[in-house]
Amino acid sequence: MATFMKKSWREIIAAVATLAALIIVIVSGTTGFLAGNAINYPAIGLSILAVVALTADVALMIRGNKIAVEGMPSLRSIISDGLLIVSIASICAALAFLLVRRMPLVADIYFIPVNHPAAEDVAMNMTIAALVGYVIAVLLLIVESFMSRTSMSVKHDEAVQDSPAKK
Amino acid sequence: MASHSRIWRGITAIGALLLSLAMVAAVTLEMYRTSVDAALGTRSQRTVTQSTKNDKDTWNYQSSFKTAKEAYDGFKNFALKEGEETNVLLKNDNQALPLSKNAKITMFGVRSYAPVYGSSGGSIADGYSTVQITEAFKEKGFQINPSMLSAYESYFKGQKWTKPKFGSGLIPEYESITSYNNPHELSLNELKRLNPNYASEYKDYNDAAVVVVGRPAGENGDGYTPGQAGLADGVHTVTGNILSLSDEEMAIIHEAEANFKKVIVLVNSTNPMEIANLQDDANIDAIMWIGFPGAYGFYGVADTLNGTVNPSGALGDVFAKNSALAPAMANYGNIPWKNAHDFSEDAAVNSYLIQAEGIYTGYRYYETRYADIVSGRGGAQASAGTYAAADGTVATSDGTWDYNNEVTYPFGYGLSYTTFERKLNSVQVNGDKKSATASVTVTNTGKVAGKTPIQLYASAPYTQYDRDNGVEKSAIELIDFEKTDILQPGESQTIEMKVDLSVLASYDAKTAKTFIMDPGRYYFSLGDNVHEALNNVLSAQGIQPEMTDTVTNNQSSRTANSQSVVDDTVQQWDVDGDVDSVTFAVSKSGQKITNKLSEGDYATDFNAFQPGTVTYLSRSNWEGTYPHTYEGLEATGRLAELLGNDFIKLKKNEDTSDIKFGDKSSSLTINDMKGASYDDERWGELIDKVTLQEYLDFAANAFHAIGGMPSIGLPDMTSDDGPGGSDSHLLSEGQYQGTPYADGEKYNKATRVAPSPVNLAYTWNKELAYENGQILMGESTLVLNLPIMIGPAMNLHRHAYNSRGVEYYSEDPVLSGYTGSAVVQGAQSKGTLVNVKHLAFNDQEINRSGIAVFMNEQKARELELRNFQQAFEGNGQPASFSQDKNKDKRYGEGARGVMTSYNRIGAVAPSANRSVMVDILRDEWGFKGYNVTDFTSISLKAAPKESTLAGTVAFCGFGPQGIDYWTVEGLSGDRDMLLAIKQNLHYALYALANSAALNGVNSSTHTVNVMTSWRIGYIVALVVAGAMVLAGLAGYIISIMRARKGIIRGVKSHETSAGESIVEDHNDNSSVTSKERN
Repeated sequence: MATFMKKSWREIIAAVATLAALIIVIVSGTTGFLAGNAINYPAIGLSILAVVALTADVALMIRGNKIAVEGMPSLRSIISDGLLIVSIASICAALAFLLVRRMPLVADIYFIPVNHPAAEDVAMNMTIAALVGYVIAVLLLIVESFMSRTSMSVKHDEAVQDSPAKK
Repeated sequence: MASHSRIWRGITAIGALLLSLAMVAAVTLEMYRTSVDAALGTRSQRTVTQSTKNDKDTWNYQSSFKTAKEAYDGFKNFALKEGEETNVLLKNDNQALPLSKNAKITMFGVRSYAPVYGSSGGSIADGYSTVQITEAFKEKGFQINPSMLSAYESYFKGQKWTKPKFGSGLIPEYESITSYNNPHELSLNELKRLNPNYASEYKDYNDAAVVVVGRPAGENGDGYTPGQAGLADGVHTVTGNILSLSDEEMAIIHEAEANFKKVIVLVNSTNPMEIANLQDDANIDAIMWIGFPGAYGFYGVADTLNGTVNPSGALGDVFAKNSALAPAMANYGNIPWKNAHDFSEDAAVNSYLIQAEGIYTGYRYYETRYADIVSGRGGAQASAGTYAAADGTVATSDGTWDYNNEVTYPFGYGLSYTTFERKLNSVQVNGDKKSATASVTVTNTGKVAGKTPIQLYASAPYTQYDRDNGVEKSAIELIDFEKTDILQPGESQTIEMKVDLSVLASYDAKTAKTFIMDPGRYYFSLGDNVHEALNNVLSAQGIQPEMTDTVTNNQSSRTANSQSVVDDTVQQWDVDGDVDSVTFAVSKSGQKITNKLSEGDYATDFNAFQPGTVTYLSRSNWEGTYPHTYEGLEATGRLAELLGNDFIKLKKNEDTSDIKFGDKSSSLTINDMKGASYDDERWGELIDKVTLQEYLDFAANAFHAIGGMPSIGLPDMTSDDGPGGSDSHLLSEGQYQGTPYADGEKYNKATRVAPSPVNLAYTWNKELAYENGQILMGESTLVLNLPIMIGPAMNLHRHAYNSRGVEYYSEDPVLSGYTGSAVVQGAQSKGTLVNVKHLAFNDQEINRSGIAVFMNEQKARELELRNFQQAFEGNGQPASFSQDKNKDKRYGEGARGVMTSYNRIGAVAPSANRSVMVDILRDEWGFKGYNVTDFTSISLKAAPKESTLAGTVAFCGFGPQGIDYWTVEGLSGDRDMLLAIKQNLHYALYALANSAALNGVNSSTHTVNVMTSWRIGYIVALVVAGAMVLAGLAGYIISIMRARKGIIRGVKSHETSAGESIVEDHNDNSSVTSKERN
């Protein structure tokens, strides 16, 4: 488990950060100043997709040996990489949708910087918090994408399965 | 190979992030493209029109400027012209002024180096154009003491003028000395530290010491606060208020007095300053109010100081010894609702303002109380804290109210280098008693040429009926004004003034419930100022001159002006019979005028909600009714419901199938309606073509980029803030009839170059105001393609402490109303769709968004609304226009646009106050135009559905904020709402069709996007990021494929040699592991 955590911590933290951002997006979009506004379904949907993809990727790491196919050692990796790319793309898109949809809020405060309700400030601060969550997640995943991505157990199993010597 | 796949994977990830950011940038830049253009000096969209046979019809408004140079010169020349007329000479002992043209002067005060050129926010002076005070003075021939100058130069060394957060280019002010609680004057010790020899050349530059004192002003921030609370730590002032001079400023003045025989003080403030000590100081020879002169205004100041120009300005506000003692100040600032926390924060329920002073603001208070005292009608007794001591400080014990302790310079005051004799030849009241013709002759009796304002006042009787019915009456009121031409010595000019007597009518909310004229004797009076006009009336009434002459006796400086002869300056008019509640009971549009603000949901009188709460100031009992601060009021019942800004329920299921939107059966376009009257029958057909979604989008995004309506061919439009010119655009973006200026790039200058609106009002020159509207707003519209200009700003000066007063004209509804009306007429002559702002009652910046402003109906109608009314009815035509048919033939068509205020009117959002927005604005005043909110967006603070029902056409901002019903589905079930939208479309399209919004529009017209630098930037970013993603994915796939081939090769290798082989996963660790296992 420790090895697993050591290898997957970026994805786990990214998933948690995305989840946190998702919760903030939902809460800030449905309460306070933005209550009543159209719900930002794209950002929410993409965030959920990202969390699911990351979860699947982590699960794949745990159970990667079960789907590793003899003679095609890269399939697990390809699926894992695909999940990673999907999660990155989803988070980036969610971040974009959040930014675009909340930009008027920022502009409202920026252009007329006095006498706006504190609730508007709260909404903006929550938006910034959500953005920070997405940014942390995506940066971690970008780092992850440059790193070796197979857990030790999987590596072992794969190595055993895939090694020509075993044949 | 594994490391390759990782790299491609990483590139893909980075590309995805960059792509998303580039997309966000692209969307954001396009969304706020006009602001981006303003910030970067680009122009991202152009309207293209092909030439036709009827180009004259296409370009129905034509700019006077065909090149950027012509435009630059045109704006500059007008600013110079206005700058010469705005200065008000307040004191000129022993003819200290004018100075010689090459006088050697020493300039004192931090403001002598860094004066306030214009507003700090909201139509600021253009820093790119500004000629600094010292440069202007030197160019005009003055020789400035370099030693003193170097001290100030040292102080500001390394400091730069302010760059605003958005648009507006460059503010010619230093942030370090711009605040509302500290004048930031340098002490003598600081001067010594900056330049130990600062005083070394006093003797060489001793023709005069010129001291400049000033206070900044502008939008944003809370503005000025009276008393200790308004002073920064360590700041002490003469009267204890920030608007009087600080210890450091007085030390500078004393330094000048100690070392120079001639001391001249320039007052660089649009908030009336408390300068009685300067008036009384025999060592100060001259005082001149210069307000905020604008980018080139110090040329005019220099020319006035050296006598090239004879000063002809006059104060448009009273200068009190202690402005904080005006009765209006008893209720000012943050006075929170006791239960403010009970409300949704979105509704912006913060505080309230009970304007218990009634009609007695500005000179109406000081002159009326004075008149009552000298007439023996009471008013002399005053309680501690409500009147001024002789030195201008607050009297701390009960005593006697004395005009001389209250007023420094009365409304209308202003001296000249020559003398004038004024004669009121006659006043002929027309048979219907609605108007009169006054003939006035002015003769220059002095030795130099000059021009002067003609101030016509009237005094109406204050009767028992008035006392019984709570009708208040100012002892004297300005009813019209004109300005002479430049008169040579000995020359005379006679002007016929068409006087609208409705400005003299009083509103009786109790019995007649309309405007009334009392029976009795009326006096028409000329005066060099309001106090003199009143004294003339009092003398005509038999009040002994020694009792009346107060200001003139203690103002030896007034020797420059003529002393009025009572018989030549006063005419009387006797009205017999009962109280006349008929003559002014019907508006010019034919609407019956009756109570709208005294009861019901839209009342402005707080007593309508909580009877008996407020006692309004009455001249029948000055002492007993003097306002106190109304603190701790609680909003309950219907008042509380209204404050929530959600008080009309939206219906969901009404049958609205007969109300057409998006009808495609007609081929009519907005171009076919260019110049059409409001009553043109084709409007219905055109409006039916507009889809509901188009309207909702149009109404929801009325900031600087206003979307068009494709269904009727209405192009996208741009608008900008005024009132002093375009806030966001530069001449480098200019164009003439659709063709960009060839020389545009040489003129990175704005159009905000003229003196402040206060300065304009203080010229008392309607023709100049008309030209101001033509140039600053009208030409900004045509040169910069800005059909909608947010201005002029016309709220009254309720008191001296509103920092945004710089954008507004005056305390008086006639001076302000006629000045603003002339600006509107000038602007509309060039096609500007004006947004006269801020309707109504924007009396302070503190809590401006949401503050609930209450006053009785008499005050509302006789002051602020009467003021706005002039612009919406197109009143106040200059005498020269009515005598010359070749002048603007459309003068008199009222303003076609309005912007509402931030503050509530009564309990509700201003745009939702049906009484003001529909009953008065549209019905009584006949307004048919475009009504937009201030920057509220579609939010609860704008009460969008209630405002739509009250004729609001658009909401300034960025779309819905916290409002879920602003959709086709949300509104389609409410019949009243859809009918209101239809009506609002009619208002909006009529206003646009009669503006430059359709200038250059014909059947070929379309808008095209221009490839700007920022568009190139985001496109490149999109391409690069997109390429990264594609390259990353491609690289990854190739690397995987190669890896797989490698595996296969490896297997084959194993099969053939059974030797050492490396399984090459894309995971380099696994390869190691495999290797190990081998």
